[in-house]
Amino acid sequence: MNLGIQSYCTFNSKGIFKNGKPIILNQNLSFNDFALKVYKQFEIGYSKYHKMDNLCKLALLTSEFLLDNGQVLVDTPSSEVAIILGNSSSSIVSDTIHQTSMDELPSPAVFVYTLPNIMIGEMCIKYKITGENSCFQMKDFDTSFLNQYVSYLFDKEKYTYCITGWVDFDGEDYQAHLFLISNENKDTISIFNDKIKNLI
Amino acid sequence: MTERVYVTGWGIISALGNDIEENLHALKNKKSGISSPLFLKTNYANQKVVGEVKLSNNDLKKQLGFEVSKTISRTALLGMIAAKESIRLSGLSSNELHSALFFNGTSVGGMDVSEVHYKAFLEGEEVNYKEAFSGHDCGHSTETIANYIGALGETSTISTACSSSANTIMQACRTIKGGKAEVAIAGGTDALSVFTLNGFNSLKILDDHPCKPFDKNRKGLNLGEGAAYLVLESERSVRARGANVLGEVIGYGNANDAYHQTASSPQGEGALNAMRKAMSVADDISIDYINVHGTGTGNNDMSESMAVNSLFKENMPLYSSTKAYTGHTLGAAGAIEAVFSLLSLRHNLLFPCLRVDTPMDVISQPPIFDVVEKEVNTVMSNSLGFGGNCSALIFKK
Amino acid sequence: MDKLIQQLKEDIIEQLNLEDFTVDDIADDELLFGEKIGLDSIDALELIVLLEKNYEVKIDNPEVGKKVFNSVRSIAEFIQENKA
Repeated sequence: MNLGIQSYCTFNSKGIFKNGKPIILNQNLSFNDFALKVYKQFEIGYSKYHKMDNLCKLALLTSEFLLDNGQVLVDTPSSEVAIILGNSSSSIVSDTIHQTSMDELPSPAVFVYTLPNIMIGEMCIKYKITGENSCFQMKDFDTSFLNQYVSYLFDKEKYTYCITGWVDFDGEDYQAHLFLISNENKDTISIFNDKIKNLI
Repeated sequence: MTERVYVTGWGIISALGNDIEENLHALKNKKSGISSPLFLKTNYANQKVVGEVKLSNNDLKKQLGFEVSKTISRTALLGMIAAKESIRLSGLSSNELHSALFFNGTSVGGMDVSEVHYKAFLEGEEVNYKEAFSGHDCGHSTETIANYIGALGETSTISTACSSSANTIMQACRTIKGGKAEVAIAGGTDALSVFTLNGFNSLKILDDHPCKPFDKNRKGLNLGEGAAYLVLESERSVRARGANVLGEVIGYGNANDAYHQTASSPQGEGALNAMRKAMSVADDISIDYINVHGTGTGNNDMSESMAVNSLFKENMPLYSSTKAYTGHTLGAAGAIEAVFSLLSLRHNLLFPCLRVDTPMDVISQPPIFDVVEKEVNTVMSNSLGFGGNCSALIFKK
Repeated sequence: MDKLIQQLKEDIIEQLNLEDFTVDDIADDELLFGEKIGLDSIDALELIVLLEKNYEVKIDNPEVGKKVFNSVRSIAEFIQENKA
């Protein structure tokens, strides 16, 4: 089966890039400040965004550009979209905040984010995605593994799209590389294989 | 023809006991493992009850042959005990293990060790960073367990909250069916930690007394800990080495609820979709019993009831939640309950929802209240995780 | 009372990350869990924490919270009735 990459989006300290082209560059702002700037400038308009931790904000904003504000999925049944991600640092930032606050009054809103797969939950809530979803803990971005897994999903189950890639936030460094994979003969940028790292 | 996946080994440690036999004994005799924490150092020791494994870390280390002075997370220790039993009971040789894959589900990882040393660090004490934090990552537990049992093939770590080890079993099955492996060990492990106890307490979903899943007046869940692993094999491998078969995995499915980070949708859409997918993989076989996720929270048990009702309607199988025995073992729950499902199949015994005084009346029949002796050929097991990650597995005799 | 309501609105916006709202956007009797402000169950728990931390008023039962957190005014009234 030939799977194609419909679009891909990167969000790191340099800025946000879609299909290899810059959408907005970051002039040395912290993640917090840059993400808020992006939220306002592109009028994301999703009040739940502000409650999220930084890992989820990173995943959500990258998804916004990947999916054109959700437009790409509008005509696709929710069960035909899957999300399979890799991550290394888990939810370390929220974990640390929760750990530090435990002796006083721990915040339930912080604890909610002490799992890496919550970012997938947030993506599913915003874009109404109900297909298979998984979060694999990896040392680094294992494109070979993800390629195998996603290919299997398309082969065995009726998926129109799968969002796959790597989202990681360790407090200092952050990287998100999301790929929208499809199996239909739409205009794809590239074939989906284990060499997708060459695109980023 | 699709490759079939058989279970040829199993291992478990939980609040009910330290191996398969002890867990079966407790289940049969309705002996719950919920009690005040003995080993977990928490300010809530007198206020909360948990499903704690009845062995200290030193006991676990001695059993595994480690020096008690060695720093090893309880998550990894529990995992090694259960994985070791699964290999022993499978009869796999060390050669056959060399290429076996290992799939581990966990949410706590080495947090039980990290939290102690982090607190010391915040209080200005001297901390050996490598010793304190090198075991923190979920993946480190996976590698530790895989190396201990000699499974030298690729390892995979899944962290999707309460469905983690159901997802590892599903993944392992797919890998075998896809012809990428003949043998895979899959399951999960999570230890109690102050981190999770405080966190769940802040969500106000804990019951300070032993929990009552599927009771109208249920107050919440009890946290638990434990580990369980299944040895899964292709038909080819089973025939080649004459392996003893404990059961077969015939269905699995995963879906997202897309509703809330930690609460389930009122109609249980995610659970319903996961169960439907599992049924589809199992060619819509008739289900004799469901080991429901049944945590004992107001939200989960209602949502899951709606989902189960929607799917089975008048053909409702018998069902119960074994979390009344073990507490909610988080990342290990899927695998622990997979073992319990297989115990039901092998012994034709169904284990009850303990402590139900007033059953919920959403499903057309209440859960089972007592141990039931009944021929069962198929069991479905649900694991519904935070982040809307919902999974269902189906096992056959 | 007005001063308390004003302070509460500021605290709620900060604690619950309601960055899209200003104090003027939240009417005293606006339903906090209604369509406009759209708080959810986790926000309700955070409000319990807020009341304890900033106002020394404890709510042990989330069910009590449901009634108290109707609007900023109902929270203010509860604080005034229960302050230690």
